[in-house]
Amino acid sequence: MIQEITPTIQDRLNLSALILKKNYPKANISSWFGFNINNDLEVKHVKRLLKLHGVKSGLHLRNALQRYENGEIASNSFEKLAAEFRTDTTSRFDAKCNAQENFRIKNTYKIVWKHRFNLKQEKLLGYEMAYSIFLMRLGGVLGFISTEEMELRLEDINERVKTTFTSWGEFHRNVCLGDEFILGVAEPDTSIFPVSDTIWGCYQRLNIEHADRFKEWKL
Amino acid sequence: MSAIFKEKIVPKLKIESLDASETNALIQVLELIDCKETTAYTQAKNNIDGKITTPLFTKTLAQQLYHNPEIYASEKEGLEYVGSWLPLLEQGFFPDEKSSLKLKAFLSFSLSFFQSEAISEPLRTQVFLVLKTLVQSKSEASLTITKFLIHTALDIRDTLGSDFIIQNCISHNILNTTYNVSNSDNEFIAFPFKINNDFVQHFYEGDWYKLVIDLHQILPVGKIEHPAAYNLMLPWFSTDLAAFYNENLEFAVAAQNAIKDRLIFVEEKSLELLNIQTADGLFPLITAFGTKKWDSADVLLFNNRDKNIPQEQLDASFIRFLDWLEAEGGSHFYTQAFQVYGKHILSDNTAKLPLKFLSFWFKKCHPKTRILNQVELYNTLFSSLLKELPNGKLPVMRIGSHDFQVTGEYNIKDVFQITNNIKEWLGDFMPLGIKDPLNQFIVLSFYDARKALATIKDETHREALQLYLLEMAYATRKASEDIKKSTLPLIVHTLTTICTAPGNYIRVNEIWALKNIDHSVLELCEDFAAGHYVNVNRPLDLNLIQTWFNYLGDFYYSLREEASWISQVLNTQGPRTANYFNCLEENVTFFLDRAIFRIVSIHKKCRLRESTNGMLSIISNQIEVFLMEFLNALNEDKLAKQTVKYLYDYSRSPIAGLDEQKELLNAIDKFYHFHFVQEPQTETNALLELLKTDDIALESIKIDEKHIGKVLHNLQNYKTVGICDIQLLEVLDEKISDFKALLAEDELQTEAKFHQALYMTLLDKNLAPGTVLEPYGNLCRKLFVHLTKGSKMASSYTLGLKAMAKSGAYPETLTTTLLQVIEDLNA
Repeated sequence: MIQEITPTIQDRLNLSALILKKNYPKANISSWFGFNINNDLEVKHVKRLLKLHGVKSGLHLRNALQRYENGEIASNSFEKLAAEFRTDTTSRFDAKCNAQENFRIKNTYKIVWKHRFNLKQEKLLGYEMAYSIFLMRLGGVLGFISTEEMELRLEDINERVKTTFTSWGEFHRNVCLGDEFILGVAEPDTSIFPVSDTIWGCYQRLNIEHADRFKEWKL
Repeated sequence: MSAIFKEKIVPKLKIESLDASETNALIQVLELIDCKETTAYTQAKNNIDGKITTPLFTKTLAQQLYHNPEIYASEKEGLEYVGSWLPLLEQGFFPDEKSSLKLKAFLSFSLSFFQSEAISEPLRTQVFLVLKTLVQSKSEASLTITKFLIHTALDIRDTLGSDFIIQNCISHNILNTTYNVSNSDNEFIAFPFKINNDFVQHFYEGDWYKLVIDLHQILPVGKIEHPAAYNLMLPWFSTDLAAFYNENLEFAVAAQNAIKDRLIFVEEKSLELLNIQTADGLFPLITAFGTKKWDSADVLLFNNRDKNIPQEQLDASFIRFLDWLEAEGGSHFYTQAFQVYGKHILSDNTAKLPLKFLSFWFKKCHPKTRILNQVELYNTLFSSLLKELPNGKLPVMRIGSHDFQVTGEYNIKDVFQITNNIKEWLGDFMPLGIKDPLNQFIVLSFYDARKALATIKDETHREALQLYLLEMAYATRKASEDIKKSTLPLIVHTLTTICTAPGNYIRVNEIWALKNIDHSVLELCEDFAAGHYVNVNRPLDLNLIQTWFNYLGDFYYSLREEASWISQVLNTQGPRTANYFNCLEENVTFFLDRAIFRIVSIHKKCRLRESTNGMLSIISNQIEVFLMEFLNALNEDKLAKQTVKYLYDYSRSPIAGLDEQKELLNAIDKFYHFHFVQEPQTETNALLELLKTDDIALESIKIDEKHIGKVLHNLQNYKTVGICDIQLLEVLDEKISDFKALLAEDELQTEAKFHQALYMTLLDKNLAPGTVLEPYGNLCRKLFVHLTKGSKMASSYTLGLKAMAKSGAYPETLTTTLLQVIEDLNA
């Protein structure tokens, strides 16, 4: 028996709308899981996504959530680099950046360099929180987590997000940055159809019902 | 019928040669054949004439009646003559030996005529009734006629005659009751038709071999779906015949061949002969299978064996069967013999298989063979070895003629032979999943040997084994419900037994996570996790404690469903954890601060929401127990001041709802006293002393490091301590030059600290003009100007103050004061 979604819960679920849409463009963001649990194809897709994240069971899921919660996914490595860069001069940074051969690492360096001061407090918390909600929704499809538990977790995540970021936009900038930090900066891939979108593109297109109410940023 | 008697026999009777009792018997005979009107009858009557004698039917008389070879000259007449004997025989007047032999000779001679259409059906029946009566008669004729019938029936040279006799003997039930043979006392003893020594003595002069050869020869002869010699002999099969076969196995094999031939020609299975049994319960024809190399027909026959044959008589045969299966590169698999019959030998489950079949199974169904239909069939057949899977037991098989309980250790060493190459070996099987019976068997073997496996030293082997079992555990999701229910507990049991090495929490979590696959292993997995996470026999470490606090989150979010061992941690581990920290020499205040913050914040969440779910109040109670025990046992100096403050404030807040928890409150108070009541006493003793100097003239106070220290302490802490000591500052203000000189000498950056402390007071709204503390504030401003003016820090402080004044964050009074300070500095 799946609980009904109250506007408050929907509001909190929407924090992961962008990540959800990016991973599954057809997702229905106005539902608990974003996926139709009665559709075998969608469930199969969920299984694939969970496998990609190494989630084989409820315990795996919770361990993953713990890692996101503790900043082990993005924030800690971001902060480590940022702390290093904060004391560097531009020329020293350029030298470090050029010493890297892997272009993805170079890109990561550039992102961190750009935000080394302004994300000192937030780090990549927004991204991590959004992602952990996304994982919860995936886990919910396979019954790894109950909606009651999701509700409790959402409440705390919501509190963390809302006290860390001042607006819907600021939060999503963080989500996008985090995504680029983890996956690398992406260009739209025009070689496949439909054209795969970058996270920024997804954000541009993100359509939230009752956006006025949901985007109102309050605890 | 009696016409022949009347016309041919009666007139020739030599009545005068008979004595009285014989005559008397003759009279009875004549009465029976309805010859009262004959002269012979009258003569006989006259002869005895009133003499009362008992009738006696002697040889002489019998020969007169039955031994008349001249009648046999005409076959038809002869047969009619024989047929007419019936009424006499029924009254017990039997032919003697001589006439019997004559009869036998006649019958042998006229056998083909007897079968011909010239003989009417009633007559034929009549003759066979005569023969039947003779066979059963207590007379010399019995043996003679029986011998004739048996020999003719088993005579393969004249199949028509043989068949004729067989069909009639069967339809008239002639050769299945008893026959009579006289003993030395001339008494007739009845013998049943059972092949035994007497039988052989009577009909084959004691030569068993002759009999058995005859028997084997006649067996395959007959027509499809018609009774044949086998049916006639069916009642004859006896334990003695079995005993003969048992002693002469070469004849048993010959019998098998006869049975095979019969199967081919008559399409009959000959089950009774195949499963012939000795008095001791031996089945010689079945045991004979164990003595020879098999061919396809043997497979067929063996499949027809009696299903109750004791195991020890079959062991050798199963080995022969296995040899047959393995011969010719295993191509016998494709023969009809195997597909139609052979597989039943393996699937009927009436016998335990020899141990060798295990290796055979693994060889034939190994994933690399890739012969799908073979793998499939053998897997189905041998899945009988997994019968006890739900009970976690390996099958009982046979070694030689003994039962052998297969063990996991044996399998690993001798069947799988993987003591050295476990990784490669398991790698082949892994992709098949637990659906595959071989994997089920491997899992079962590992389960059986789990205690021994726990002692594997080699790291890579252990790793390979665990990965394999984990893979199998997840594969149960794709298997049927039955397989999942029976194998998953075995896998988890094995894993929990072999994963005892401490420290590898990744593996522990992987095993713990298996609980999601099926409810049946939930408890096992939780116990296992608890055994690793909460094990009082293992030393604690910071990582582990941190893990506890991480999982506390899951415990809370899932309302005690997940990480259920956290209950154990909360209920029992408080004092132990505290003792661990007490013994640590390094500074753990930061760690403990985070830990306490986390546990308290969860407690708070529980309190806030406990009206919605009863579980939450249980969690908060458990947390209280933990905190109380933990804090009671923890040394006071292990917590940082701010932690204690945080705890204290929280414990007094209405959200915490700890009013009833006196013991916990006491524990927190203990820390609070240590950090905020006792300790400051020692630290501020100097201050108190100083306060006592109130009455002492200000001039007498000497400006020294001690005094400056006190002032600095007061400036930095006036907010928390709540004492704004104006006098202390006044002294400095008056002796500003001494003070400056002292600061100049100081190397501990006391000056910079003063700058900073005073700067902070400038920005304190509580010291602004118009407040109670205005004098203190004024003094501070004055001192700040004195100290800063002209120093190298002046310009930066001016800038800072300007910015503050313009920020608009401060009330007007303070803003003007700040601007005044700037002016003073610039003046």
